[in-house]
Amino acid sequence: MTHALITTETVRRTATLGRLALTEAEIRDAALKLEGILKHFSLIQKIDTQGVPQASDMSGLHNIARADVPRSDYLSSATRLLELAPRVTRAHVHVQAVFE
Amino acid sequence: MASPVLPNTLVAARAALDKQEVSAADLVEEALTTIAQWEPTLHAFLEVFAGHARTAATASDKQRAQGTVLGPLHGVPVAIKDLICTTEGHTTAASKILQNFMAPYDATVITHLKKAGAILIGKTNLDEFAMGSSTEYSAYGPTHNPWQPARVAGGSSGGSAAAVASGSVLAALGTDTGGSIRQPASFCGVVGLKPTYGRVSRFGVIAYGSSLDQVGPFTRTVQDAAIMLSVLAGHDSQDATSSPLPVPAYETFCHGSLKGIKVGVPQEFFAEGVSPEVTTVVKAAIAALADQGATIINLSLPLTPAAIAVYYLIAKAEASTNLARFDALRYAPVSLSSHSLVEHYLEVRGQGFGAEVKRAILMGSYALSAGYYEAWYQQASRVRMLIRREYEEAFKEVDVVVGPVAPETAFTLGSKVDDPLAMYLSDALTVPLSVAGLPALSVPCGFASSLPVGLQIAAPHFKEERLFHVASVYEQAHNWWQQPRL
Repeated sequence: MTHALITTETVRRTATLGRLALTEAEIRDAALKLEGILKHFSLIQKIDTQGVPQASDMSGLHNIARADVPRSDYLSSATRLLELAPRVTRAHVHVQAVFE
Repeated sequence: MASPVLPNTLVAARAALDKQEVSAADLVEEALTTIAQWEPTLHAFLEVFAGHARTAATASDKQRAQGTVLGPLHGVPVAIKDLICTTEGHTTAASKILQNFMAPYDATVITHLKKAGAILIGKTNLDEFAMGSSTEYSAYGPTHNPWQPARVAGGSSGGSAAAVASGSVLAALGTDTGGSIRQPASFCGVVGLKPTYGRVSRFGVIAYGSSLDQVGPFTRTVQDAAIMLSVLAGHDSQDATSSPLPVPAYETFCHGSLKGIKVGVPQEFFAEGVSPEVTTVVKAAIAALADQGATIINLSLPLTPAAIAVYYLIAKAEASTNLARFDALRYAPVSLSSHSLVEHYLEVRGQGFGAEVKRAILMGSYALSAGYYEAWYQQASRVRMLIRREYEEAFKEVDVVVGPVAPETAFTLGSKVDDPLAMYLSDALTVPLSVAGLPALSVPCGFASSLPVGLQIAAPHFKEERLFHVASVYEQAHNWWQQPRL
């Protein structure tokens, strides 16, 4: 029997890292499916990449940072932003309290 | 008064509008009527901007009457994949977690479309956050294929492909991370273009895999795709990865002959897993390129089978970080029982994301986590570099590389939705070009069992004009465009 690449315990830990609450059924299903996927993907482990750098750019691009100045054309007024919010209370975006 | 005969390409629409044979109002009404006829069958749209489009058409016609033509799309309705921010309507990414999100700004591609005179007609369906190959992972239900509604439209930009194929619009925007424009274009029988990474701004496009995502057009003809790319492309100071290279007049390359053009055919694009009927149709198209004067050169790209693993490991790793920003505090209709911020995140993200998005977060977090990073993400990134080098070598010998877009025609709804590996493998022939950052186009090249088949043509970085040249010369001699019927 080959060693499992991913177990229900790995899924639980990874789900916590990814901030996802999963049901037990979802955890079992994810472990099963990810195991099958990663087994297929393990073909890349056999490729010799000694001395090969990690890919950082594919098409010869270099980051070009714009001048650090405000652009008014992308700024919305507070009124407009509140109009777009689903719920507003006293000129604030209303969200559900997350602390007791 | 009899209804005007409405144009069926952007080129024809531009001419008809210029001659005042039709108005923008005519085009918008026709689009709204066609959308209403097809929507019960297709579910291509998540939102239709009927009121906005009519108002914009009136303004557009008034401008034209006063002698002002904004650009090549003046008065033309265009549909937008609902992954792209628009100040009209909602931008949901087909996710419950963004169900109530209305963007305060337009993506740069939308600004470009508006400056060229386009009228936004609505937002199209997609796999949630563009993760999928069938549009079945949309939180709002799947899009159906206009040729056979029991089959998928492809994905993730299935709504845009179906909207163009059904004749609802002459052009639509999609995004392509690993094939999300090319594969649905192939499945629906339209032209779909993924530009070189960096050719088109990603500003205002909800990110999936940031080193892979590109915006591109769906159209009925190659020349129309060239017109669209000329509008969309160019450097954007809001996107640090957009290229400052000048934008050629792409439309001028849509003619000529294939004499002297070297066409590479990788044997791996016809390997086991590619259906015999797709192989037959695509090989006939390649023979047609030879008949038109191209020189066919057989190639081997041995890393092609590794591209699926490379692509999905990198895309899901990038997705897991991009998706970390969604806290569902403002836009998701969830009710909470949590008592701490971390509990809140766990609960709402568990409720708000669909199955494939959760899988992306799990796979991406796993590939990036301590103990697994070197073996998975880092190795995938190194193999990605080798794939890029493989194509660089190939393009020393040939001008373009061709093959099928997808291993099969549109599959039946539900047949892969619970088998993610099978779904991923439907991208086997598009992802190699994606991980290499190359431009590639799908052009209709025939039918297999009454379903469309696309020919994929790829070129070196920033050589989209070669795609337009080869594809348009092929299309002019072998026009497979047909209009599916309800």
